[in-house]
Amino acid sequence: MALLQASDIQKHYRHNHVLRGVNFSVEPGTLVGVVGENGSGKSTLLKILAGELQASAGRVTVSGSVGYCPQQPVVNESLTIREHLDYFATAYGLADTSYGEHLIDELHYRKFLHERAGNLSGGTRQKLNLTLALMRQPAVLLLDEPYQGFDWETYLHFWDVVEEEKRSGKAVVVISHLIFEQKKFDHILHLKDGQIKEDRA
Amino acid sequence: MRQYLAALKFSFKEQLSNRFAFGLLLVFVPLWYWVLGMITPSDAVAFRFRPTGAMLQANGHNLVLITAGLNVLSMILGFMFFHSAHRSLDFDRRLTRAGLDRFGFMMAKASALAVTTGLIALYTTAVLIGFWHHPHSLVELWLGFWMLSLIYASIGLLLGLLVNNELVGFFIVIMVSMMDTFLQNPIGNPAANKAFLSYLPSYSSMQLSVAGGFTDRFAGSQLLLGLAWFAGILLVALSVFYLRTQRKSSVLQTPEGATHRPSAPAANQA
Repeated sequence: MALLQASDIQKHYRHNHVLRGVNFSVEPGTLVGVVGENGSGKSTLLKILAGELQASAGRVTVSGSVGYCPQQPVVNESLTIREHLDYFATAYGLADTSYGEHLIDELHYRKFLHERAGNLSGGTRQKLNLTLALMRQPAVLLLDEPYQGFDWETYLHFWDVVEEEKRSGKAVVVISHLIFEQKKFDHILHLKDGQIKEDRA
Repeated sequence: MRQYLAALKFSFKEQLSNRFAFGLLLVFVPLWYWVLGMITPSDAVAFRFRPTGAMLQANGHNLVLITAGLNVLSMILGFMFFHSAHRSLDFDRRLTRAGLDRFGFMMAKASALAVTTGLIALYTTAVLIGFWHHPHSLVELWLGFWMLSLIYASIGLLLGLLVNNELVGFFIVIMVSMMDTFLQNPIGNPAANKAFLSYLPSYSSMQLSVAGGFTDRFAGSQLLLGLAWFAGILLVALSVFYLRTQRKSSVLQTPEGATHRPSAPAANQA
């Protein structure tokens, strides 16, 4: 049974049709890449799947919870990384922040734990952005180019984390621009002219 | 309760981290008192005191200190809450998506606003004592300053949620504050005793502060009027917050499966 199913997703702004009927599903333990040119509607699609944006038509079916990592880090500059973990653990209703801290160790930024987000580099803010999406261990992960600003080593660690999530049975959808990383995906959805033109396994 | 307390704690932290606003308070509150106090003589000025309907003959120097305090509070608190609301909207939305209860979140924001403005109004009243040694009632003077602070912090919060451009928001705060508090000042504005001024946000705060500064009378009706202004603006601001942090689609989450229809039925029919 698919953890995520998108049926005939459409989105238009007045006369601009961004999505023209997108259909796909993601099984448990599957990593799906969404590729396409700039402006092809990748981020719009992910926002709709995450419930961040209302589509003009269509239906999304999700089994379990969704973790969404937006393209630009959404953090609070006046709070430290530790405070972000505590705040989101409270919002998610988690008993502790142990998984968030595990992710901090995996992505190697524990030394900034008590730094305010406003003082962090772009890459470290992005790590925090990703940690906040993953720390509740959702069934479906939607990641919009989540490695922007990462150095090479962190980029490799990121894929280790994604592999770990996939092995634990999650459905993972990643927006990607990079051709060389496409072999990592179980499926690649090529978005063009608002539709999936190619669904490669 | 756990969520309310966490939201309250971090809302305070967010306000206290605005070092620029606190720098403005530290520098401009005493500076503004000093400048306006220095250039204004102590001659008696007629001021229409609404609770009795009579014209008070107030010391012009002391009266201008009240308007200076109200003026500086309205601008700095309007700016402070505009800034934080504007910058944290996406983050607040992410928190509510994560499951933070919106009602508790709004109550926490309102609580943080009430306490922060109360403390800042207390500081502004304390500095005033350095320039005006014996006002009749410091508590009532502080209440007047606090009312104005509550109203302008709520205006700042509302603008922060509505206006996308930071510069535009700052200008609106400054222009509204200048027009409102300047018109209440009988020294700067010869028409300051006209009835239409009672419809402006700072009117009740001015009346309450004057009652505290120059009379033994407690202006309870003006306190209620100020509270009504505050409650009205805060209610609008929180309603906007509620709408802007709303999910764009209805999501039902169950262990077996959840379905959310991202499109409204009307949109489907169209």
